[in-house]
Amino acid sequence: MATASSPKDMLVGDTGLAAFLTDKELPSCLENWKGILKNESKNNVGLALRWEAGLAAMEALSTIPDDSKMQLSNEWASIVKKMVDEAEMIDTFCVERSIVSIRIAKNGGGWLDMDEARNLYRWMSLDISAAVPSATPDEKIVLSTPAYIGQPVNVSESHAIVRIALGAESLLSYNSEKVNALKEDELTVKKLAAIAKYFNTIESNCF
Amino acid sequence: MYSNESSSCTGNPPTRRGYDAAKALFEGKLKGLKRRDLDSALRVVFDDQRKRLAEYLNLPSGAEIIFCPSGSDAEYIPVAMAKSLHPTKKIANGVTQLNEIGAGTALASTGEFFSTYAPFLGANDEKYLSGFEGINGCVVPARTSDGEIIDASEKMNEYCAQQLEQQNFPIIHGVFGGKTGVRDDVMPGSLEAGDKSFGVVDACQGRFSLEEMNEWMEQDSLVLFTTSKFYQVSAYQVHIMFISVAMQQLNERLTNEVHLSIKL
Repeated sequence: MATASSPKDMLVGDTGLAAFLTDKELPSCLENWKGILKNESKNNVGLALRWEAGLAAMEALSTIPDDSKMQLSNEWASIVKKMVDEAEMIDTFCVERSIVSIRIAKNGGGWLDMDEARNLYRWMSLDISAAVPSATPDEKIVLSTPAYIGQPVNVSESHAIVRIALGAESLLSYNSEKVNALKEDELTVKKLAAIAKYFNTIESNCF
Repeated sequence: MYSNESSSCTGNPPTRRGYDAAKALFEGKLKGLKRRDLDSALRVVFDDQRKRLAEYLNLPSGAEIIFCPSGSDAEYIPVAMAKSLHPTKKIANGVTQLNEIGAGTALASTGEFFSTYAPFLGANDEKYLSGFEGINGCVVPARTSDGEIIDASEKMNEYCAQQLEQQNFPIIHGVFGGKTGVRDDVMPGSLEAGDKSFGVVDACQGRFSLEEMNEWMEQDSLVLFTTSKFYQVSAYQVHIMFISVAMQQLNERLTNEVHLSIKL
């Protein structure tokens, strides 16, 4: 069956590809597309800056051979999984490459759902030590430290998960100083467990 | 204040290294430029970034890179290529791992705007991008309601065969790591070097080996990649597509056909 539009409809006019791209983002082999999408008044500076930031990470990582990157990533994931499994009130949902997905137990049974996991995710990035007066000194330290983790994902009707994932900087750090790098992951795991333990208290203190 | 930064997905806090590199580029080459001067400077920057990316990823000769503002709008590229190469065929686009890929992917794969705002259009209430109407879509969720992983590759195989039988042009996706890192069993290649179908590999997590990337290039897949996850670039996904050696030949056809249609 023939479709109604012709290729030029996709390129000509403001509501086609030109809403997202100019010729500058295209490679030279698409010279005819480039001719149509050329627009010197449209310049996505943010795109170039974000790529520059990404390239800086990629080029820093290029000092580690590809095989070693994979080996280090697998080793890291295995260690973090063990940390999670040994902690109370949190559980490894799955490990895929360098992403450890974690479900969080509720005090009354079951696992945090998506709305509750969103609260936990937000609290992870904040100093919430003041919300838990009864926390131990060690717990106060972890509750006060912002830790950025992966956003929650709704994986089933019964619960959501959050993620600890290896990034380029943490891989570089793990490659050069394993003990210190793992201390950061340990802190993240402990904060997840502490939030799970005091979830109701934190919530009732309007966080 | 000390903070512990872990890579995840869109919305990562910027790393010091990334921020410094972006700042240096802006202050050294782009700051204060407008219109034609900015256009020229940005052209040089993107060309340089293309070369550096190809080098880092060890891309084969002939591989090409398209920068897109996000992963969702990168989905328009295979559709545009398919419609250009096969203007008389219906395009059928199969997407996997719904709920564990970008929220706009399914909409974009059928040519719809996925947001009320587009970078160079601004706020708008259009439903479809012009020229992108009439695409058949198929979406496979990542999991069942009780959390079990769905075998999307089998469903994509069935969908591809069905569309080919109906003389349509299938675009088949495989996800190499969604939000929880799950990888579909099969990363689809493009049949007959893209003459019968496109295979799109969503490798946006960036958690792949160079050997795996090379395998996708060899089977003529179009690959989506971003630095907003493993590479910890802050906010907004940033995607590119690689078009392998065999696809290069199709680009020639594609550009010629677009050129012809413009003449008409």
